[in-house]
This record gives sequence, C-alpha cells and structure tokens, in this order.
Amino acid sequence: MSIVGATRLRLAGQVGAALLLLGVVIQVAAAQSEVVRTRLPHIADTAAPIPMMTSQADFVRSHVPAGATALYFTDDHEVASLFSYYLISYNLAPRNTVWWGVPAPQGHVADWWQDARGGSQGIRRLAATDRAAYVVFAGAQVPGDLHPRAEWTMQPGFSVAEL
Amino acid sequence: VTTLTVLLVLVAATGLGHLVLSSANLRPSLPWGGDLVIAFMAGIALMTLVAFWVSLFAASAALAVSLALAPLASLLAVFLAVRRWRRPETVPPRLTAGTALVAVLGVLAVVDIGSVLFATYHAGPGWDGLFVWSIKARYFATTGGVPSTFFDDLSRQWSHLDYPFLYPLTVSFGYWLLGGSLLHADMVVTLGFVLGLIILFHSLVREVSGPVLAVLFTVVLVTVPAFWTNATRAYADLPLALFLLGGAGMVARWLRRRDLRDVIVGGALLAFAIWVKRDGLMMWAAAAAAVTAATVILRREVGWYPIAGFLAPALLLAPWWATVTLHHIVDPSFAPLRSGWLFAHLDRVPSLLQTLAGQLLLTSAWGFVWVLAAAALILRPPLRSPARAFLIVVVAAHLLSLTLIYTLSTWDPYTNHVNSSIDRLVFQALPVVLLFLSASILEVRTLKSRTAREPYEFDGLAAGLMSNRLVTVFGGPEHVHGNVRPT
Repeated sequence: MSIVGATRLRLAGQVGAALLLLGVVIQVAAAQSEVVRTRLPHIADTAAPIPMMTSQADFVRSHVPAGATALYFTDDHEVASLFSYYLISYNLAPRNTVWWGVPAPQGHVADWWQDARGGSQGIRRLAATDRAAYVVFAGAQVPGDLHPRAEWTMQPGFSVAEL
Repeated sequence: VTTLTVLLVLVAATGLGHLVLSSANLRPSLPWGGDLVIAFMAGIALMTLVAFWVSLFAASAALAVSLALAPLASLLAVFLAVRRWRRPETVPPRLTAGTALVAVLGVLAVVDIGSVLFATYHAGPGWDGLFVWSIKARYFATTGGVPSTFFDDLSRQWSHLDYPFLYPLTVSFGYWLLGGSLLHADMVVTLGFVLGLIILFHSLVREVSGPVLAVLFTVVLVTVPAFWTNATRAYADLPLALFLLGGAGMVARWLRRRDLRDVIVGGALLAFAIWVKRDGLMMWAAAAAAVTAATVILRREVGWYPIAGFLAPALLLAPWWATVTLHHIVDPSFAPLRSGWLFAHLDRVPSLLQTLAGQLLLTSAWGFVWVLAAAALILRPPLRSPARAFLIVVVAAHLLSLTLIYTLSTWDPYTNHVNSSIDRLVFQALPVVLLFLSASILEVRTLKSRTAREPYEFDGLAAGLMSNRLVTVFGGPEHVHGNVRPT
C-alpha cells in the first residue's frame, strides 16, 4: 500500500473513531436526561412492598401439618389467582407441597393449574390424584356437598378443609 | 444486620476466590479493582458449586460446609496479601485540562453510580426475583442445602427447578446465617453484583481504551435505562451480564496478550455464567468456537493448551448437569430440541428477527447503544483486531440465539413469551457490546508482559484520550502494559 493510501486509511479510522465518540457523548447526554427525568424521581417507588399473603400462609400452616400435600383451589386462573398461588407456595416452601386446582380445562403445557371441574367430586378427584389431604379455598367457597372431615375459615373466601 | 451479614458472605467469597486464583497463579492483574471482582466471581462460583457438590452426599450440611470454607480461605488470603503487599509507586497528580475533563466525568460517574446503588438497596426483588430465585434460596436455607426432594417436588415446577443455583445459593447463605428469608438480603446480594459489574467494566475498558473512555463508558453503562431496570430487581440477568463481561473480556484479553492465564480465567467465568443462568451457554459455545479457531491459527505459538484451558472449567458443572438430567427435569415452557419441532416453527424466525431489531432500537430502554455498536461495525470494522472481532461475534451469537430459544417456546401465543423476556436477554450482552464500542474508538491492541515499561506512542485522537498525564493521574502506567499501539 502506498504512503498516501496508508495515510488516508488511518485518517478514515480517526474520523470514524471521532464520529463514534460524538455518538457516545450524545448517548450520555440523552440517557442522563432520561435517568434524571424518569428514574431518579421514582427511586422510592421501587421499594413498594409485595403483598406477601403472610397471614394467609400462617393460617394454612396452623392447620396443615408439615410434610402434608395441599391443593390450592381458586374459582379462576386470572393473573391475581396465579400470583396468589405462587405466594402461598412460596410461603409454604419447602414445608408443604402445594398444587393448584381451577374449575377450567388446561390450555397448553405451560399452564400451571390443574383441571378441577365437577364441583366437590372434581375437587376430590384432583386431590386424590395429587395425594392432597387438604384443600385451601381462596376466593372460592367450600362446596356444600364436599363434607370435609374438618374445616377452618380465616375470612369469607379463605378456608382450609381436611378431606 | 442483614446488610452486614450478606456483605460478609460476599467478602468471604472474594477472599476464597483470591486465594484460589493466587495459588493457581491465575490472578489477571487488572487495574482499579478488576482483580477483586474476578476474585469475587470465582469465589462465589466455587462456594456455590461446593455447596451443591456437598448436597449430593449430605444436603443438610452443605451450606454450613461451604460457609465454613470461605472465611478460612479469606483469612489465609488476607495473610498472604499482607505478606506480599508492597507500597505502590505514586506520582503526585498534576492539574491539566485533561485531568479536569476526567474529574468532571468522574463526578458525574460517582453521582450516577451512587444513585443506582441507592435505588438497588431500596428496591424489592420483583415477581420473578421472588418466584424463580428467592423461593429456591428459601428452600435451600431451610433444608441446609440442595436436597434431592427439591427436584422431586413437581408442584413447584413453575419456579423452574432446572435453573442453575449460583444466585439462589448465594442468597441462601444470607438467609441461613440470618435464620429466615429476609427479602432485603436478595437486594444486598444484587448490590454486590451491580457494584462488581461497574468496577470490572471500568477496569476492562481502562486497560484497553485508557482512563478518559473508562470513565465516559462507565457513565454510559450506568445511565442506560435498562441498566437501572435490571439493577433494581433481584433477577439473575445482571449477575449473568457480569459473568459474560468477565468471561468475554478475559478471552479478548487473551487474544491481545496470548497469556494462557487469561483464556483459563475467561473459560472459567463463561462456564460459571452457565451456573448463573442457562442463557450463558450461547456465549460460552461461541467463545469455545472462537478459542478453538484462534488456537488452530496460532498453534505454533500457543500450542493446544488454550482449548484445554478454556474447556476444562466447564467440567465443574457436570454434577449439576447430570443431576438435572437424571431427575428428568424438563421446562414445559420449551419444547425439546428436535428437528421436527424446529422445522414446523421456522416461520417464527423472520418475526423474531423483526422483534429483536425493534428491541435493539428501543431508545427508552437502550438509548442509542445498539445503533452505535452497528455504526462501530461499519466505521471501524474489526478487520485487524481479533479481540474486537471476538467481542462482536459473541454478542451476535448471544442475540441471534434468541431466535432459536423462542422457536422452541411452547407458549400460546409464543409472542407473549418473547415480549416478557427479550429485554432481559438483550441486557445480558450490554456490557460486552459497550466493551466492543469503547475498543472501537480506542484500542490498545498488544498488551504484552506485566513487567514491560515501554513508553506510550499515540497520535491524533488517541493522544488526546490516552495522554501520559491522564494515565498518571489514574494510577500510573503500570496498569497499561507496554508496547502500546493505538488503532
């Protein structure tokens, strides 16, 4: 390569580097203003506590012995019910195995609820499949024809039944 | 108490890592705390691996054994460090226009770093932090290790039983010592990883691109909105980004220095990245291919040792891999890797590439970082820099692997799966692409022996960014080793 050619190549490289540097400076200015505008004012918001359902978990713990399996039953599989199931399971880990039953068919393989259609018979069938001796009813009433051995109610819509 | 306890665990892990790296003569000698971060990464990986290995034989004693090991190693490491310590040569700083520029950028960096650390410390773990990672930490802290019952409890398969354990075991050390699952411990652990990421990033950029770009790019990193998002929740994506940065950075360093130690440490950190999150596998595989290709080309100079040195640390993960396989744990969110499924869902690829491009151009999350990386590829193609070429290849491999990952998704519709996680997968490669970008502006291509003290020779833009005066103020030329050639 000639000297002129080499010089041009080097200059082109320097111009490229200078352009990139300019771009980085613009990035810093833009991102800095974005952080000041949208992040710093909301630092406190990130600490918003997660509703951990601790009292419900304590209630379940007081009636379901360690090592026993429970079936968590909700009326629907909306996000709120899904997260309440996650929270109960979180709070009871590793003390109890907790399955989730919903009176609805499963959609596809990555759904986490199990089909508990059919009223009290469906609940008993699923509990037997999961080897669960206890059913936690959350946002759902205990069916009148379930006839559990024992039943404890923390509040309307949250009960534990021993089958 | 929570903060102090968790910090003690992290310090103990650093001591263990320092001892192991020093004993094996693998200390990388990075500037400005880079060595400490590498020691922390190695230490926490080894502590968690030991906890898992012990769990295979005595699950209830695993955390105790691992926690007993680290402080002992730390004491020994401190003893050795004190014995070997020598007062560094210091050069009194001089006030120049260059130092003023670095000082201004430095103040900005300190304010930004302080803000993000404050936000991390006060944040909550987030839903996935709780349901994927913290739940495992809670399980392990209660049982004293990783019992086989953990893999058998399929009622909690939604929490991804097959995910690796570096992060949850680190948190579980804190829970175990504290006697309960205090969620603040998750955030203190995250704080450690955030700080480690910032320090290591600054160190790697400084070594290659000098002090001005090191401070400037540190500001770039901590002001990217996606960095804030990932620093203020207890997910494993930020720790994974740290391990990918360390691993890719050290392998790139090997390509510059041809020092076998760099490729061994790089291989170890990339293998440990898989121990943080399975997503690390893509960059490890791409780096393995690159190291193999480079070794074949350079075999007369380096022999076959780099390949063995890179691959060997991955064997440490074999017990975990075997355990997950033997328990037949599958993730129902993904179909098994079979050609039938792949061919049947190939039509997703164009849509996935479009989604990926849309994500990279999302300025509210990334600013112009990915646009700048593309510009760097065009304006400063890494034709004569194997290290830069390596960095962009592993980033591309990581990003493009997303198409394969989501082609296997079983979600219906699969776009929900993509939209819920693609930003995190892209974030994992952010520090590495910024390292590529900084080296595209200024790259010291040949870093030779640690003891070389040759004068710097710069011209043009490089002279302004890497003057001796600036280097002097930031700790002396011993941090940028000899025979420097700007590109």
